[in-house]
Amino acid sequence: MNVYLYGGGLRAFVTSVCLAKIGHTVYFYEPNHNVSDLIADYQFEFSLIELFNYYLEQQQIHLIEELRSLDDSNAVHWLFFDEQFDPSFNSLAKDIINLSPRSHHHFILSSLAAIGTTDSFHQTVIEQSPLARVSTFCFPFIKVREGQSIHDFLHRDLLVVGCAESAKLPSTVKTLLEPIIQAAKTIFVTRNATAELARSTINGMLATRLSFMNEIAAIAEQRQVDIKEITQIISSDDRVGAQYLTAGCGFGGKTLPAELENLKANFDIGSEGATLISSVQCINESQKEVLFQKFWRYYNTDVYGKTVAIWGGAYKSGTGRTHNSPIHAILKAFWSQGIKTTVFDSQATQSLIELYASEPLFTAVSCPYDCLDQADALVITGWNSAEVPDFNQIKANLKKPVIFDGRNLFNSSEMQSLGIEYFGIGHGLTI
Amino acid sequence: MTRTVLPIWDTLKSLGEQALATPINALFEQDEQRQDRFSAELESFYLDFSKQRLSNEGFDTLLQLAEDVQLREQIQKLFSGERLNNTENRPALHTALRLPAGNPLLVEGEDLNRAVQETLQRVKLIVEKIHSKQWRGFSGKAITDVVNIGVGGSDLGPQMACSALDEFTVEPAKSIRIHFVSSMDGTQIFDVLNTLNPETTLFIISSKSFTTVDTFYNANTAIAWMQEATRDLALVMQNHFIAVSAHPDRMSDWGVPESNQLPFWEWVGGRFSLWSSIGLSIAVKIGFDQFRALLDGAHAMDQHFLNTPFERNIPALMGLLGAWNATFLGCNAHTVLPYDGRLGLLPNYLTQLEMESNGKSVTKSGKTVPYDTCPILWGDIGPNAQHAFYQLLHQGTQSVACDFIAPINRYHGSKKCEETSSQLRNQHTLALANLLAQSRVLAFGNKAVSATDEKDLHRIYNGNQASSVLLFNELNPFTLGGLIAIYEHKVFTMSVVWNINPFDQWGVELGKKMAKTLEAALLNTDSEHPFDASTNQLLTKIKSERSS
Repeated sequence: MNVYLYGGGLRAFVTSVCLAKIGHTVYFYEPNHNVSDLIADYQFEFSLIELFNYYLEQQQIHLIEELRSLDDSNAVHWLFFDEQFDPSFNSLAKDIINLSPRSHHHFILSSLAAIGTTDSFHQTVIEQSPLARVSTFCFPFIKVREGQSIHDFLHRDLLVVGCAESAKLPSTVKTLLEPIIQAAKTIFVTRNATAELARSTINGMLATRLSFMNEIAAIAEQRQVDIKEITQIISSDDRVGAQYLTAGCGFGGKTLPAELENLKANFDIGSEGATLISSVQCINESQKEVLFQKFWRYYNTDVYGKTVAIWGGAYKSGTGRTHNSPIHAILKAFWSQGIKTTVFDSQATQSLIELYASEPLFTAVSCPYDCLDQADALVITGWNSAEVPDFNQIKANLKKPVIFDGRNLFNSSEMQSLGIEYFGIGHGLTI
Repeated sequence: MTRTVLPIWDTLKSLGEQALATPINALFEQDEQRQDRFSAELESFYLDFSKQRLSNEGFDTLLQLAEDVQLREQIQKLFSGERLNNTENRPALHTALRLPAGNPLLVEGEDLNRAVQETLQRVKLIVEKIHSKQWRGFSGKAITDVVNIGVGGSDLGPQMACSALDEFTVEPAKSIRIHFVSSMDGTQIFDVLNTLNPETTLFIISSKSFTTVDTFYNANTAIAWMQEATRDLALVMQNHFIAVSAHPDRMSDWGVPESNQLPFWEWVGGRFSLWSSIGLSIAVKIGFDQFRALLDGAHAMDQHFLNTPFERNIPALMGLLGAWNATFLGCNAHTVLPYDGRLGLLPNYLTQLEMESNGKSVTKSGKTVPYDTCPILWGDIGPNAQHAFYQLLHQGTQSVACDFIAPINRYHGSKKCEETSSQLRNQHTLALANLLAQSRVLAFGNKAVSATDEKDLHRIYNGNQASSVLLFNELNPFTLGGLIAIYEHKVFTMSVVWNINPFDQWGVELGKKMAKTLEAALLNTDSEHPFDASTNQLLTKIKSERSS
C-alpha cells in the first residue's frame, strides 16, 4: 500500500521505517523542514536512522516535495505532531482532498495533543470539504520507548486505535496495520476521544507513580531507609507491578509532562482543579532541584565560586534529547549561586552547547573524567548503567570525594569503602 | 522670614465667614461656568473642586496666599534638597527617589540620584532572584513567602500599594505570598507564622532607624521561630533575612550580612519612603518594571507640582483647599472616600501621611501657631462607608470635607468571561453613580432632588458639606504613583501655608520613652508605683490579675 506521512518527529520516523519494513511504500512530506536536519536530531537513534536511510535507498521511503494527485480509491494520510496541533494541517487536508476529490481519504493522527484534537480535526475537514469522503483515526503511541521504538511499534502488548464515526476499522486501515494487529496481544478499537484519554491516562499514571515514589524517597531519607529496597519489595506485589517505581531526580522528556498538561487542561480554572495531577507536576519540578539542594546543604549554603562536575544532560540515558530534563533546573540553580558547572553527556553535549554556549559558568567536556578536576562534587543526572565508572579516578580528581547521584546507580556501602561520600535519592548518605 | 500671620490672613478670614453664609448652590447660581474654573487636570487625572465652599474671590485670594507664603520657592527648595526639615536639619527628598535614571541631582555637592539608582538596581536583582525561584532558604528550597516586618511608614505604604495593585501581580510572583507584620503585640506574626514553612520564608526587616521596638520584637520572634528549624543563626540571617534601613552599621550589628542589606537615607521620611528600598515588597509583587512605573507616575506628578501654575496644579489646589477648610472655614474633619475597593487601605495610609506630617502646632520659627492646622482625617471604601458614617456627613452637626476618589474605567481588560466582565463593569458603573449622587447630595441637600420644601425635619438634608472629586482613567502602577504623590504634595502645600515642618514627628517620642519605664514597672515585683494615681492603680490591677 501507499501511505503518505506528514510532519516530523521521532514518531514519524519510527512509523515510516516500520511501515516500510512490513512492505508498504511510504511518501514522506515535510515542506517546513529539511528532512536531513530532522534526521540529524535523531542521530543517536543509530539503528532507526540507519534503517530509514536503507529504506530510502530501497525506494520504499520517498521524500516528496509536492503534494500529488492520487489514483488510489483509498488513500491513507498519517499526520504527526507533538503537544500542539499544527493548524496548517487543516489547509493541508483541504489541498490533499482538492487534488484527489474522488478518493476516500483516511487521516490517521499520532500526537501528544489534547483530548478531542482528532475529532475536532475531523470536524474541520468535513466542514471545509463537505463533498469529500473522509475518515479520521487516532493512533496513539503507547509504550513505544525511545531507544527500542521499532521493536515496540511492531510488537505491541496493547494496540489502541480510535475512529471518528463508528468504532470499527475500515478494510483500508486494517490492511495497512495487518501485521501489527496480528502481533498485538490486546487490541481496542474505540472512539477517538477514548483512545486519546486512554493514552493520556496511561502516561499520567506512570508520571504519578514516579512522583509518588519520589515523595516516598523523601520519607525514606528521613527514616534512614533505602528506597531501592522499598522498590524491590513493593514491585514483588503484583497489584503494584514493577514498572515506573524508581525514585530519581525527576522525569523529563516530552511525553509525560505533555500528558499531565493534557489532563490538567480539562479542568476549569477556579474549580477544585486537578489537585492530584498538579501535585505530580509540582513534586517532579522540585525533584529536579533535589541534587542542587543536597549540594547546598552539604556546603552549608556557602557555595559561591564553587565548581561542580555533572554527568548526564539528557532526560534519560540512551537518548540525546534534553526536553524537560532535570539538567536545566540544576544548571540554573548552580549558576544563580555563582557555581561553575562542567557537564559530560555521551549524546546530549551538542544540544546543551547550543542552548548554553553563552553562559559564562557553563563548560561541556567530551570525556567524563575531564570534568572532575578541581570540582567540589560530582553530580549525576544520567549515566549508562552498563558501564562501571572508574571510582579511583573520580576520587583522585575531585577536590573532595563526594557524589550526588540522581539515579541511585551505585551501592552505598561500596562507595563508603572507597572513601566516597555518596548521596542518592532516598539512598546512600542523608543530608 | 518670621511670621505668625500674614496680612492676607484677615482677608481670608472674612472671606471664610462670607463663604459659610453662602450655600453651595448659590455659588453655582452666581457663576454658571464655575465647574470650568474650579477643575484641573493632568493627563489621566481630573480634579473637580467646584463643590467646595469657595467663591471666585476666595479662589483668587487663595492663589494670592500661595504667592504670599512663597509656595513656588518652597517647592523648589524641597525638590533641590534644601534642609527644609529644620528640627532634624536635613532635606526631605522623596522626589529624588523617583527621578529617572541619568537625571543627576546635586545636593550639597553629591549626586544623590546615583545612590538611588544603585539601590534600585539591587532591589531589581533581589526581585529577580526571588522571582526566578533562586532565592533559597537554608535547606535549598526556593522562597515561597515574603514577610515584611515594619511599622508606620515601613508598613502602611507598601501594604497599601500591594493591596491596590494586586491584579498587577506578575506571573512569577503569583506563587509567592506577601505578608505584612506590624503590631507590637504579636497578633499578626503569631497568625502568619502558623501558616508558614521556615524553609521557604524570607523576612524583610524594614526600619529606617533600625531601632523600632515594635519591629524588633516581631523580628526576634521570627528569628526564634526560624531557629526551631535550624540552630545555625548565621545560616538563618544569610538566607532568610533582608534588612532595609538608613543605618547599615545597625543592620550589620544585628547580624544581617552586607549582601542582604538594602540602604535608604536619612533624607527620606518614613511616611514618604515606599518609593525607596522600603518598597521591596511592592517590587516583589508587581515586578521591578511595574515598580518603576509606580515611580514614574509619581515623577510625572512631581513635575506637574513643580511646573504648573497653581490655578491648575492638582496637589497645590488640594493643599490650598485643605488649608482653606481647616483654617478659614473651621472644618476640622476630612474624610477620604475611594469608590474602588482596591484603594481600601488608602485612607489608613493617608492618616499617617497627613496627620503625622501636619498634626503640629509650632511654626518653623518656633512659635505656637495661632490658627487651626491639620484636620482629623479618616475614611473608608466609599460605598461601604455609605452604610456606616455617611449619616453624620449628611445630617450630623460636624462640618466634614470629603475627597471622592475613583477610576473612570475598571474591568475593561478583565480575563473573566464576557458575561462576568460585563456584570463587573455594571458594578463599577453603580459605584460611580453613587459617588456622583453622594457628592451632589452633600453639596446641595434636598435641593439636589427637588425644589419642594420638605416638612419632616428628619428628612431634611442641609447640604453644604464641601467635597472634591478626583478621577483618573484607570488604576495601575503609574496612576497609583501619581495619586500618592498628589497627597504628598498636598500635605507639603498645607505645611507651607501653615508655616510648619511636615517632615518631623516629635510628638511620637515621649510615649516611646514612657513605655520603657512602664514596661519595667510591669515586669518588676514592686507593689508601690511612682506614677500618677490612675496609672498606679492600673498597674496594680494588671499585676494582680496577670497569670505568670
